[in-house]
Amino acid sequence: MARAEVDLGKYQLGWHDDIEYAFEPKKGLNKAVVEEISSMKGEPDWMRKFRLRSLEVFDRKPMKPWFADNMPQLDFQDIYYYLKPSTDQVEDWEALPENIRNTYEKLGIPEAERKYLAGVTAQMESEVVYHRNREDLEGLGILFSDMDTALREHPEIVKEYFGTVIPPGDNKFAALNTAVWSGGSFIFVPAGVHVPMPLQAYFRINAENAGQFERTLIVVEEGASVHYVEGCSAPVYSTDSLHSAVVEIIAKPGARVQYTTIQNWSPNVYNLVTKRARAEAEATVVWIDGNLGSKLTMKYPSVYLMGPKAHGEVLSVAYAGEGQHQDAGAKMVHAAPETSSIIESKSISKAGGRTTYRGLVKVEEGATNVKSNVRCDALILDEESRSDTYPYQEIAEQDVRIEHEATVSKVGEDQLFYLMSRGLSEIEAASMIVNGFIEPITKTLPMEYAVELSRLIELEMEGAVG
Amino acid sequence: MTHAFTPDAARALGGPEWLVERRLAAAARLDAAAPPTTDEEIWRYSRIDAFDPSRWSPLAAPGGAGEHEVPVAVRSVYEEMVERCGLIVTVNGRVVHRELDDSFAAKGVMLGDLAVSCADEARGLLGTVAAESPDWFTDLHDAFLPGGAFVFVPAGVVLDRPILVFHFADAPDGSAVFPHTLVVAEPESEATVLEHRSSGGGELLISGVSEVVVGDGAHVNFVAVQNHGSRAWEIALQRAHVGRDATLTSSSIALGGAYARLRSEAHAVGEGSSSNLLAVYFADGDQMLDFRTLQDHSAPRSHSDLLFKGAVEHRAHSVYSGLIRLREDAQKADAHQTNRTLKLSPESHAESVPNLEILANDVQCTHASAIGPVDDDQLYYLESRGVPPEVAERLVVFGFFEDVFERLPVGPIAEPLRQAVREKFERRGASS
Repeated sequence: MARAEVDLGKYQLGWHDDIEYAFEPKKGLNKAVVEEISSMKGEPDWMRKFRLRSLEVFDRKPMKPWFADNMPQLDFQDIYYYLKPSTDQVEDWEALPENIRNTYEKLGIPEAERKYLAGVTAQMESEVVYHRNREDLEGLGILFSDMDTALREHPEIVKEYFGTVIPPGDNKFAALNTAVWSGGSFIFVPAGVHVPMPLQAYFRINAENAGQFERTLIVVEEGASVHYVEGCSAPVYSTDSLHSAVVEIIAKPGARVQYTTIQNWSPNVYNLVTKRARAEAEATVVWIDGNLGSKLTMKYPSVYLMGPKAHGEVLSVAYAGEGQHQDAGAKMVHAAPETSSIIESKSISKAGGRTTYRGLVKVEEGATNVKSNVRCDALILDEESRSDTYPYQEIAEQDVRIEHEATVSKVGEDQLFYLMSRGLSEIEAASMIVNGFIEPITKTLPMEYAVELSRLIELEMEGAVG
Repeated sequence: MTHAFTPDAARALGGPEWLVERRLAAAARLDAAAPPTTDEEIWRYSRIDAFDPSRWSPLAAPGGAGEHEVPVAVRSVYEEMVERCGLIVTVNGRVVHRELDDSFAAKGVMLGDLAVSCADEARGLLGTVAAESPDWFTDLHDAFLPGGAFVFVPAGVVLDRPILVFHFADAPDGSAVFPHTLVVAEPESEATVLEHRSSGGGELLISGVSEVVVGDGAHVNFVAVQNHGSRAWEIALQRAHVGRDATLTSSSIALGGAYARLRSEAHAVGEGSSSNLLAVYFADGDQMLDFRTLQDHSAPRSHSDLLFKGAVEHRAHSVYSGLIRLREDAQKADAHQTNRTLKLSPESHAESVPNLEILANDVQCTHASAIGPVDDDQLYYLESRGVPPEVAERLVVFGFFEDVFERLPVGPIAEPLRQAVREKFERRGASS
């Protein structure tokens, strides 16, 4: 292959554009910073108070022990909590400043636009700088905007649902996000409406030590459906960057929500995301999660199955290369009868990388006739790498069927031998095997993402064998 | 925190000098630490938050030396058991009776009390396996163990019948007792040891440690039966070191206790070693049975397999939390772990957490766990053949346990164990 010299220690999309920042507050976190964020945004009083309350929770709350183990060096006072690019939000692509446009060209956004994917909300730093809501979506009554806009234009919807699925007291990073959140996506789908195409947004961190705290809220009314796709990419920087997002999904009775993320942060980012969905009766929520980049990712998408016959799925792929730790997993809470869930996790570690699956299946009292199936497979590609599996199962009901299975292995020598005897090089053969290993997840992705993921895996596999 | 487990109390136990010193060192560690809480991962789901050390006190050393009567409750059990080549009975941690087939005594096999008859031999061996105290309770045990069962099988000796170790506890409510078993199987030896732990009906704290050293090329079957009284609290550690090309089968049958916790660990320290960890457990009433297992591989080409199967009924609670750790040097190791729990009533609880930490790449590792009710299809099949529903359920439950019994390496031992599980199953409801 022509890419033989590629070294993935160097981040593929790791350029850095110089962008002027309109507002650059000091590092660190305190009441004044939170007040300033809120007043800059001209928020209603309830949101300001909510932020301040959350800051108190953040100060009070201890870190979960494994969080502290995973990132002993994180210093909350050495981070910017809010940055606003110099442009205001625009509807027209050409009106964006050239350097910002360049960034997005490299990310392929205009192409996505040309492909009629959906309204694009591209996030640079903490504000949505470019956003175009496709007219046909508006015609259906679908609201798709950044969270700040939603708070201005639809405060009643935001106020009703904001923080109801993930309250600030849930964990230290949820509290942090609620105190300093900025940007993120807002989607509202009215009853019975099926969004005909995946909605898409890109997120980027672009300032050294800039924390990015986007907040996403998706409300899907009865019998409606939506597929939201999010991809991430960030340039290489020498110091650590913190990304701590919160994603809340409310799936009303009979609704279907799919949330797809391909995450490819540069290898210095701490990525700590709280993602949770509430699935009411007969609703389905599917999280598809690909974690390739970052220094450390801790992300456990969860579904609270609150109504009878609700269904939840988490399908994930994690890849940890040199110096990376992917600590990802899933959580399914069965709180109603006849609910079901599926967790499928595929992880690959290479060159000293570490992958961790950490999951929970919980069956509450009264949740009879529950089914859950968990499957975790790990590939370890060399001697320096590591893989852990921590699957928790807490069962308070009798009439449940809970299954968990996991395997850990290396790339099979007989498989390699077979492919190489057919004329493939060792690297090609290994890439093919690894791509086959994650195939159950890639086949659920929109095609562009499946191709991108597959190509990223091929790049990562260079030099993996031997 | 004030409690009766003070260095002075530990000193008062007496015995050989080395043991007193060892106790005092542990008592000092104990003094400096607080009992665990459920905040610690290894104690998550446990009942440790209900543990109040000030409610318990150690037994003082008995007045006169010498061996005591074997309690009838113990004798009646072992008299019905398989033929044996040796027997040790301890009461409240002290050996009260021992016997050993002459032919094996002549070959150098030793059975005795590690604080009395075998004190010289046990010195230097006690704690070799459980040296790194994993928690507060091992320190507690080390500070207060009065003695314990010592089983020594010299190199190359093959025991043709099992050795039985009976630990019985019977003391006033609020007493803490500390039974200990130390099995040393030297290279190329073969032994089967059956450890039976039971107690009277009192409210007792039983903090036991069982150590098994499996020398290079040795083969050990260690079978433990726990049948404590319904008010007893047991916190036990079972740990084995398995040497090069050695094999260990460590099995547990857990039935009794109000709260009974077992940490069962197999450390594959020798290349090519093989460990099998098996358990059958059945909890009813308000019981909680709590298992923490560790398959720790630090040697290449080592193998381990774990199968824990249990059932919970009424409001009973079971916890299984296991870890397979394959360290950097454990290349070409393979390790497997399976936990299955049957839930026989709606109020029963079960937790299952099979963990993996894999630091080597050329390995095979799997785990599986399942929690569910008795299979409807199986019940339906049996009932359609005219089997009454209660009988059908019993057959399915026994069948569920049977694949563990079938893996027990010594056939004759399996039968009394099957019987113990059946008896408990038949009288379930009595305690509900």
